[in-house]
Amino acid sequence: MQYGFYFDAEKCTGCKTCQLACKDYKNLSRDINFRRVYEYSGGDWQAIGETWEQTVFSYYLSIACNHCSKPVCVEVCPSGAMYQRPEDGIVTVDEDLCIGCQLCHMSCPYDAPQYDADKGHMTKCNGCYERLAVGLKPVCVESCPTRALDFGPIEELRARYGRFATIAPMPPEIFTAPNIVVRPNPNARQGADRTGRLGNAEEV
Amino acid sequence: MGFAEWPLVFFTVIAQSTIGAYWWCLFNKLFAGGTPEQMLRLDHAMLAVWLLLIASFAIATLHLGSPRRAINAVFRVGRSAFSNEVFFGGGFAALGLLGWIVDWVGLDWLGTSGDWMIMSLTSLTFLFSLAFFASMIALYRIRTVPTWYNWMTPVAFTVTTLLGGSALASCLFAAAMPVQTGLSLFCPIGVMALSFVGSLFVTLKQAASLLEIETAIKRPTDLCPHFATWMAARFALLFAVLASWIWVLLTKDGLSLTVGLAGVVIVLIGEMIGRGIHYQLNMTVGLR
Repeated sequence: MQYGFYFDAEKCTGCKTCQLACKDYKNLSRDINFRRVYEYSGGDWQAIGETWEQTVFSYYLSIACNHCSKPVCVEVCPSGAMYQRPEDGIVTVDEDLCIGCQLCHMSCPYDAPQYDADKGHMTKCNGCYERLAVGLKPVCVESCPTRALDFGPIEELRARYGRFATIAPMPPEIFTAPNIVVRPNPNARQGADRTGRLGNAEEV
Repeated sequence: MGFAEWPLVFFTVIAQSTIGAYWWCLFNKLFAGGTPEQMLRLDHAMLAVWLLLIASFAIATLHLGSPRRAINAVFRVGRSAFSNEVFFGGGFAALGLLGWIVDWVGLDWLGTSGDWMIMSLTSLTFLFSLAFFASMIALYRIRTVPTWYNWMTPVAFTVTTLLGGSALASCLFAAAMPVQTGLSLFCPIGVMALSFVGSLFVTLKQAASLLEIETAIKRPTDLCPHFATWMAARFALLFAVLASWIWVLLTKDGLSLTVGLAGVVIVLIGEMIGRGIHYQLNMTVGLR
């Protein structure tokens, strides 16, 4: 079985409760965020006949590790510390084995593996598998006040929400086959979009 | 990333230069030759290659967050390019050092068996050097890193191997032979001149390709806004060394050890500038 996330860009208000709940539950330091909320915005003036109209857009993308089916972090890892659990497809890191080379960090297009300088090795979202074991959802999912997040067997999520998986600024799925379903915001741009910009670069 | 990754900058440039220098020394041994005394001096001078390679590995461990666990890096030999790099690099250093000790001690007392052992050891060391070189290139062929995943990265690494290797080998030749002639003089200079032209070509192509790479939130030109300035400095350094070598060729004096050492240091600094930019250009196809 393969687990994955669902993200509803229509419901997300960018409150970042998911990010903070994860940070609190995992006791993460200031610079480490297993889940991050990206603010993607843009727009311009567009000539329509004799008039000009604005095309301003802005929306949020809450994202953590997508526990990819082709995880590049696992492929490049020299020690085997980064691995995919066979029982649920969750990609996690064995912190007792990791040497802290950061090659996974250089490779992951979702910025999921995060280097903890104090610990001297990588850390990352593990889908809160200890909570899953007792029938709970990951803390980011349960904390979301708008129910914009879900987590579960990816085929169940796809049956319920569809197979759409990429909005800007996410990378094309072809690279790592991420296990995520996204419900796009009406303003959401496709993955190949180049018209927007990151509104909170210093934050993420 | 970038120059903050100085342990990797030092490691990759020095290690590649030692591979190139080893190839030159082997080439000289097989095809150029010299008097028996000169060959023996060259064999002894090669200790510098192995010590530099070992020092570069020691520096590389400073990049690791947990250097005490460095041995874990070989756990995925055959499946991870990083593991292959450490395995073949470590093997190359160990075999090279063993070969140097054998050269120093001599195996004359073993007769033809000694010759056979030396030939086997040399062949194995050469194979490990090739595997080490290939795995260093493979390590940076990551499909999610568009600034590295192209034909220019392998060519740039090859150019460093040839440039740094030629400079280092010429220094060793200068230490072994006061006046170099034939292959040991003309070949390193020729290869260095060709590598210089190749490096210039790759850099120009890279500069053009960086303008075409873009994600929704990242552009490599933002990651390295002073690309042109750094590369100009790099080529000024490389050209200075090349010009000094051509002068040596014209005056027919042979390369002195002092000029050779200065050349090695300047070439390595030039290549380290290029490597720093390589790391500075790390970005993915997505959010980072």
